[in-house]
Amino acid sequence: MKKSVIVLIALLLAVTPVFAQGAKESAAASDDMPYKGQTLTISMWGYNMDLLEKNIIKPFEEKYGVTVVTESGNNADRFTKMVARKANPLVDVALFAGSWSYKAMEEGIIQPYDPSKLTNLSAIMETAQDPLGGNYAIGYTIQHLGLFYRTDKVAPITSWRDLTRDDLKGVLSIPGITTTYGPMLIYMLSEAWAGDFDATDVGWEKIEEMAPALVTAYNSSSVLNTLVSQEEVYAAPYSSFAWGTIKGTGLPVESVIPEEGLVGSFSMISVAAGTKHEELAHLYIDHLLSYEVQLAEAMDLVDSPARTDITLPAEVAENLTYGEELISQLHFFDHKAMAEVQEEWIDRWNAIFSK
Amino acid sequence: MLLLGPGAMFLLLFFFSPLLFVLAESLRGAQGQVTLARYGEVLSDAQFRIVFVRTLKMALIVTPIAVIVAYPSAYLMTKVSAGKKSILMSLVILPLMTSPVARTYAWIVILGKYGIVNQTMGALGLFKEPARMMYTEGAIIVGLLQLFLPIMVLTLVSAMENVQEEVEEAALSLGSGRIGCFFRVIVPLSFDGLIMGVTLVFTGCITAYVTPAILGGAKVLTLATLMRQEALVLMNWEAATVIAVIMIATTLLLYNGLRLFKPRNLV
Repeated sequence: MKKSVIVLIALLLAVTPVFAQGAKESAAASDDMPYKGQTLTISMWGYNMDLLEKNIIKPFEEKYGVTVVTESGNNADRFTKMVARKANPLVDVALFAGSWSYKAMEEGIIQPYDPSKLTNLSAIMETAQDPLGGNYAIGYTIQHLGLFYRTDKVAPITSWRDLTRDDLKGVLSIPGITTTYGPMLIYMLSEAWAGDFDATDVGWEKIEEMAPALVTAYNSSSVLNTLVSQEEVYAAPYSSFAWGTIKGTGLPVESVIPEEGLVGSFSMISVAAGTKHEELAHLYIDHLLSYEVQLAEAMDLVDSPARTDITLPAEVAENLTYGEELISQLHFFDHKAMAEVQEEWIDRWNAIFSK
Repeated sequence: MLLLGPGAMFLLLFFFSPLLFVLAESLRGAQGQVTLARYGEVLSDAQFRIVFVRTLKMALIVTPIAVIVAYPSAYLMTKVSAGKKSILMSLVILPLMTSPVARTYAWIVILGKYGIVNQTMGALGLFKEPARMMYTEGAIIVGLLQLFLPIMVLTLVSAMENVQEEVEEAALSLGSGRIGCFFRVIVPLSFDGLIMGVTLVFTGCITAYVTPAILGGAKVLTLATLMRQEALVLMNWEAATVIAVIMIATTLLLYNGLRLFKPRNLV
């Protein structure tokens, strides 16, 4: 037994350097490249990673002579990892959806950015510059919750009220309450039926009315894509970044701007709390907000620009959250208010769907 | 004893320690005292009870079906020639080599509105309109059965291989029929394998995440999907640890409960 313990300890010691990789950084910095050899760790989504590498990461690495390491995953997984490593942070820059950025701020895993270090900050929409207050996050890309329907199967949708229509029973899906847009749908339904975003009891009544006849409530855009391509769903509110895939099914789908408008949101970028590369983290954020990067991302249909000076060709623009007509119709909701009711709303949702 | 060392150390470090940590966490009160308060909170929650009963119900449906389907197949596999057995074993193992995600997605194509089942039933005139099968408890049950059936078959095959052929021949020569021999000789002698198979399948059903998440969607929550929601969406790790302990306790209870039924007159 004793020997085996020794063998195991020796094995553990042998593999330790594997886990400790990355702690070392070469010190080959020079005056023109002061950060050369450093490693910047970004917590981000892995969706479209090849394009993100091409448009953002590679140019940044080449410009500053640094290495960018990514920790990819969905909001919840990455958030949990950062909270678990709070005492000994590994991440330098964190990208989250709005509500998760708010939670990250509350949890203390992101820190305020220094506006004086961001030359591109003034070039983005004013509402995106400090959406959480306290300079904790920047909305680097704008998105929206759209609404689409199958033109060959159901009558045109013109209002959020249409979601309770009889012809949509059995062919409608909505985002689940734990998704970014789930709670915002309740606000939109409240506005549509009661003329007041905050009359959420009305929104909840409508959820209860719709629930039995929903195909399902989807928890990720990839599930919605499957539902659309399998022709299970003829109408649904959708995250704007999934529109390309939905259209790509080749089915006759049309997105609409209902009379009550649509829901808007920002994906946000922040400096991670306790980063050892604060300067470099700011440079990365500034790089992401630069004209070149925002244009490249838009042209590849990855992210809609938060910058106001980007002009896009019509065929690109129609697939993004872009243009005065669309953006003026977007409603943005308070993340603090949503975080406060989250637990109660999830319980309420589970109660409705358990019936 | 020495040979047990590495395995035991690994389990101690990466299984028992986290398990103890989860157990301790579930019993820790707000002031650090030992309390059952969190269990009280979770167990008194109507939502939890609905999800718990649903998960248990699905496991209690899937496990007996797996036993009924797997026993004859496993028995046959111990009776055929070595060549045929190896082909049959490969067929059983093949699904285990496919990712559970891919296997589960295949059910969307099969059970979907315009899937194979609906198309066939429609062509035969049995369904006037496509039936809704996806995102129901039924879909999860079918998915879980497919996922865990190979495990049941493999466990039973290895248990029945240990039953000496002479014992079976003796029973037959003493006047027992084939069916009687199967139930009165083969089943009792392979009971340990049955307990193991039932425990593995039942545990699998209680803890499965991918299959209920894809085939049940957000409409049909199970213990595993509820635990994820508590841990990763609500950051309510306290409730998640309680759910985890309840899952473990349920399977331990089943395992030890089944052992009580083991025929005592057999070695």
